[in-house]
Amino acid sequence: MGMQIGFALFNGLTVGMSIFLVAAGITLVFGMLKILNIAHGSFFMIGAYVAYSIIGSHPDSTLQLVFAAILSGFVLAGLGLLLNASVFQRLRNIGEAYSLIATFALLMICNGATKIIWGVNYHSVSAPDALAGAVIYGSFFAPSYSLFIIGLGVLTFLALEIVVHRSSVGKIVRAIAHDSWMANLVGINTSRIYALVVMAAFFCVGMAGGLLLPNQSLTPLLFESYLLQSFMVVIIGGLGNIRGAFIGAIMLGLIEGANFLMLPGIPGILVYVILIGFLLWRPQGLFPQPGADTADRVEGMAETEGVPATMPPKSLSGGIVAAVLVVGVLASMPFWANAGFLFIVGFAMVEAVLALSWNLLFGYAGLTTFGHAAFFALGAYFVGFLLRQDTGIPFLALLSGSLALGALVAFIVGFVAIRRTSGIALGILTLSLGEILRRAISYSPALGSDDGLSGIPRPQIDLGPVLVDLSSERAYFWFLLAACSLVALALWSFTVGPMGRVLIALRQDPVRAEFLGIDVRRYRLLAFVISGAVAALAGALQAPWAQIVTPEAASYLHSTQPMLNTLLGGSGFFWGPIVGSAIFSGISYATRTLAGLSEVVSGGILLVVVLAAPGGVLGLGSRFSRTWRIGALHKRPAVDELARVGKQAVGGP
Amino acid sequence: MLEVSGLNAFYGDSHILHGVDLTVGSSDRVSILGRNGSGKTTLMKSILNAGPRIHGGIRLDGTDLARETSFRRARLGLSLVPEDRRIFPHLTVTDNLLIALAAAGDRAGLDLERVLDTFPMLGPLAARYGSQLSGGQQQMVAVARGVMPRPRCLLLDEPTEGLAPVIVRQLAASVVRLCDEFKIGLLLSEQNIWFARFCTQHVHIIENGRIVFSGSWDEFESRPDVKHRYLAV
Repeated sequence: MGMQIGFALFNGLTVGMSIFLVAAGITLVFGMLKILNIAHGSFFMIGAYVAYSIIGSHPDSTLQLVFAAILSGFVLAGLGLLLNASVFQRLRNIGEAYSLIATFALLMICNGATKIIWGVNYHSVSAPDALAGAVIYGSFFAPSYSLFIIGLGVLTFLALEIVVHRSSVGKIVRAIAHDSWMANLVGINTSRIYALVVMAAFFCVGMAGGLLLPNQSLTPLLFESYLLQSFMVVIIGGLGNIRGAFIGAIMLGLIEGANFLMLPGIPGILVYVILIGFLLWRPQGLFPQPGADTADRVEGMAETEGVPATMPPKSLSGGIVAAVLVVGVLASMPFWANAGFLFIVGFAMVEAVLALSWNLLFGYAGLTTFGHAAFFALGAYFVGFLLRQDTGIPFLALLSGSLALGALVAFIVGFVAIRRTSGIALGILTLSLGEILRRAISYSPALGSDDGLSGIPRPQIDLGPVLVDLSSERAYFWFLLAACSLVALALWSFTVGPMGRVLIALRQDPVRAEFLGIDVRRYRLLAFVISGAVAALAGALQAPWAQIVTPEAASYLHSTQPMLNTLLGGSGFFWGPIVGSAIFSGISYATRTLAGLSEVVSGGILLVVVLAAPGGVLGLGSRFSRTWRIGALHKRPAVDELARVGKQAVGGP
Repeated sequence: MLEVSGLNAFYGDSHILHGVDLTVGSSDRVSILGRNGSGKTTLMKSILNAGPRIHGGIRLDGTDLARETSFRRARLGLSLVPEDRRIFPHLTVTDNLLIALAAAGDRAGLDLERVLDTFPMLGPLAARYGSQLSGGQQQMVAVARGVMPRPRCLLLDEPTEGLAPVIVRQLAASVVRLCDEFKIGLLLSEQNIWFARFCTQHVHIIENGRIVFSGSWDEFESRPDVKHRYLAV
């Protein structure tokens, strides 16, 4: 037993150091540019592929591996320089929510490009002979490769620690991280330093990709393997703090080790449980202060500032005409669209409802959550499971049940989470809950484990005298359309009603809303409950349409879908999420046969939208018209300026 | 040395400065007085290209600065001490001063010890972090940091705001001594007439983004109507 514990701890330490090697770059970029780079895992993957291209499957010597890793670091540093000039520099001027989306777009582009360049096949790389063995100490033995990784992790930490905290460059970096405006005024070329830091971060991640290449299955899914853990490390340590990230990585590794000993059946779940506990206890991380002013940061992100505020709808009649037209066209589709297209449209409608429910939080209540898919999965599994059991419960009752289940879970989660956390901490908390659910499902045989529930029958609805049979694709499509339209209408009437106005008010200025006597927390909780219930309903509606539910429904990648749809369409508009879902589905339908290219195109479009029109597609239209009306608006840096005008326009009641 | 001509500045749609003309001769010391919101801070920031969108000419020793970024202007010899001081909180006082030598570029900056000597208050604080200083101490550090690169022209934006009278007197003495000793020009924006008169020879009054009076302090004294109209509350 003692042996086993020792071994688990040693393995944990190896895992921790591997994570640190990856997370160091995230910390550097965040500390400096205040951008949480979601694409970091993808750059790690690209680093691994580049190194693989250099050394192939069997590196001859340790030296060759290190050499390939360094070369890969330089390649990535070059990529970093390019991205700094084209993307990161622009992201410094727009809100955090948008930089998240933009880096997510980068993630899609990178993953797609990886598939195109290196293919989707699995590769494996062996450790060089010198590292393949083990060092034996009495009855304890340690794989040489693990020792190699641990040594490199410590070395990297020491190097970064000395540069950031001891050197004169580090002082300049910290000065800029705190106040780049003033740093510029004392004669520092801040743009150059930004570029250097981004290159350093990319060098680190490229090198990590090369060094961690052995014992890794190299596939286009590699980006995921360290992504969430790196974020956790960065959050635990306090955003932007190298020392914190190092300690966080060790903690995380040891927790993984403990998970292996205590819960061997469900790997990786303990980390999320502990992370949630940690976030509730210390949402600002272990070391919130030195280096980067993360304490203010986390507070500042409580509200989705920087994002154009949600507009009260202007012309009602135009909206009604448009809505009727859209529903009419959709209703006619089963007569002329082919089955594949119809299927996609059905999905898009459900995704639109999911996105509407997410935007109720983001665009109205001012809360950013990354785990919305968990509610969706809850509803989907609830209905899917019971339909397969042939329980005889009426379908409408099942739908109501999923609504109630979603509301109940959202109430419990929201009650604790909204009280204790906000901003990024809330985002990571909800993301962790989603991951816990996904893992729990994929290790439950009753729910089909990884394969999910397939062959879900489509139901009949017994309305007394009439029996509506929804088993045909066409019938269920119409039902789906009716249901989604109803939900959208209900949400719309909620947002234009008195409650919606309160939400908009507290979204724009929660502090002032509080002074006006609004119980901000209660309204946020209310929005959270409604949002969770609607998301669960969306899942419930989708299960019989797809006829299969898999744990992927709860994954964080699915959680990002409503975010992307919302921001693409325009979070400041009630109908934005629907427009975004339609555009996204159109793109993915058009590029569906091209492995990789579809992600590159979707990611590229998303990136362009975020950089050129942070108000989304709808925002673009309304901004043009507003700019037109105001007239002589000198030359200006478009983004912040227009955002300000936007605020003025909505400033009045 | 520093010539500002026809300077217009905008924040968004708001037109803040309207054709401001201003000259600071070599080793000259000039004040700008004006009420809150008259455009003093905008003028200071505009000269460094650090915020507002600007149109108009800014020349330093004959060099046109119109296309230069803030850090280039700093390296060419303009040093702004902003009204909110902006000390780097996670650096020590010494490091706060040394980091400003970046602005010296190829020229030689001042010696740290000599600058610290000019501010008797700072000596014992050299190892403290920026975040551990009081408002008055921060202002001293900000001014010291501003002169470190030995600029051609020091721009002080309302340095006396929120300072105790005794500190204001110390600051005035230090500023004059530094400017005299190292031949540094001074452009000072102020509301404290005593401080401005102590530190400078010329005075401009700014109102609604326009210079409405320029002259020596004697000329200023001979026009009580100007003082009443533009500065009295």
